[in-house]
Amino acid sequence: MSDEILFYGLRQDGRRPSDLRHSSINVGVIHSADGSACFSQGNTKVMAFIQGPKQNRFEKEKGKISCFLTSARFSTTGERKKVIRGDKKSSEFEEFLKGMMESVILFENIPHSDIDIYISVLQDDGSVESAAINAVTLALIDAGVPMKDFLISCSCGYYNSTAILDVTYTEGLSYSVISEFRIAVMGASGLVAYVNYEQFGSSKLSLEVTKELMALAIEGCRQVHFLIREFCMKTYSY
Amino acid sequence: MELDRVLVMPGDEVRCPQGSMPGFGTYENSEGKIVANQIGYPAIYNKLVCVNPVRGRYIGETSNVIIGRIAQVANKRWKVNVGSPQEAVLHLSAIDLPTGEHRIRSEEDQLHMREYFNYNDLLSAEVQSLTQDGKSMALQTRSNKFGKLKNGMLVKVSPMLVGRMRHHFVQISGVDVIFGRNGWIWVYLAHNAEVEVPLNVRQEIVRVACVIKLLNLAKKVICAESVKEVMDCLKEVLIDEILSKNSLGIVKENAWGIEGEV
Repeated sequence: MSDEILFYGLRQDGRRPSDLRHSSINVGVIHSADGSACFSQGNTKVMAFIQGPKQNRFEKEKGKISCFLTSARFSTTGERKKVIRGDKKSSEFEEFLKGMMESVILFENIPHSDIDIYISVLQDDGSVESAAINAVTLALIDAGVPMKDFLISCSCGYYNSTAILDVTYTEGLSYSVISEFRIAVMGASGLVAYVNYEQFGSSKLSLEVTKELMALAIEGCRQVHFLIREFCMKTYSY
Repeated sequence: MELDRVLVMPGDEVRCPQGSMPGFGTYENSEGKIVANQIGYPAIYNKLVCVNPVRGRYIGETSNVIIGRIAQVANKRWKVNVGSPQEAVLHLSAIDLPTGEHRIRSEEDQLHMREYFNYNDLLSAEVQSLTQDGKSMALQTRSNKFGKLKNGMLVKVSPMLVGRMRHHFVQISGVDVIFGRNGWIWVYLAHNAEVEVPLNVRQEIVRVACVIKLLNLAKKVICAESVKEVMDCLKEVLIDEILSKNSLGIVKENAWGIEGEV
């Protein structure tokens, strides 16, 4: 595998640095769940299911969110995935997602009710966490859970002083890249809810680079938000 | 009264006159604007701005006719699953005794609770009251039209498509239908005695149930009139071909949308 990411200003899959992959959206994929959505971005494909709002077991006033992330054994490129649930990375993300969703869902409108979120990663080609957040947002809308705002996520990377939007799996593997700089934004108000990044080596992220990455990722989120809004308009209006 | 018919999504500002107040499905953000918190169509009642949701579980209202399934037999009451976030409660004092007598329920009656309603029994009931937070509800079956359901078939549809109607117990082409406001619809043969339902009636039950499913797929209002209309359109279609793309197209063309007042 080549370390090169940009050839003549184009990436391996022919995108320009600030292009998103083609995404496709589907909701209502599982009928037994209250809400379900399938979000795919390039070859990354994530499904999310919502169970609830349903009666909580201990009759507490404020409900809680449970979050379960599993990836299919065949999701990764190359080898079969050995651990499909509960490894450190996915447990960390589950906690992050729980916190994010707690800040978005309006629990005072659904007292004594719990919400279960199930995410399954079907194909992993980079930016899985971002796709998962988008899928969960869609599934929550499909379930009719009261929310403050959309939560939209997008990732970007940094390679040889160029910021690239929506990193793929191979791009994330390359050295000298801030492999995945993830950000989640409230759709309508534009507030940033979550920032996280992974890097190789001990290279620190400078302030200018952070600003550049933030600006690019927010622009990406804006595009994804537009796509999701258009989709919802089309599907739910009658 | 409906505001301009635009679908709003969580985080969208609801356009409304000055001095309006946030109601169901909305909240006031930090800038003092009224913002939707779920996907739906905005409406205004006096000064209260609401969003009528297009998705989500059933939210109870007093005097709604609903259909539920017994989830739990508890002390002097049943817990009933009605497809809402919380389980509904049916008190022992809120049912008609099979003997029809009116008296205070004794301990003897508590011992016989499973004979009245057992686990997984389906029943039709009316919402008697809501708890203070408006989420959990108490049911009653104090009338001979409510009670245990038999000889039929349950269809679950989106609760937003079943509006309030003059009669929730109707007869359509020889079979009886109960339209539960919670989106559970019971298609059956009303008969007091224990009889085997004849084949032609069973076929008619399946036909009506399929038509209701089609209306749900086409996102059309589900009421006696719309079901009858679609039944007329699909008269010639065989039962095993009724749930097809072709007939879904016919339903989409012929039945009225959600705008048609019931």
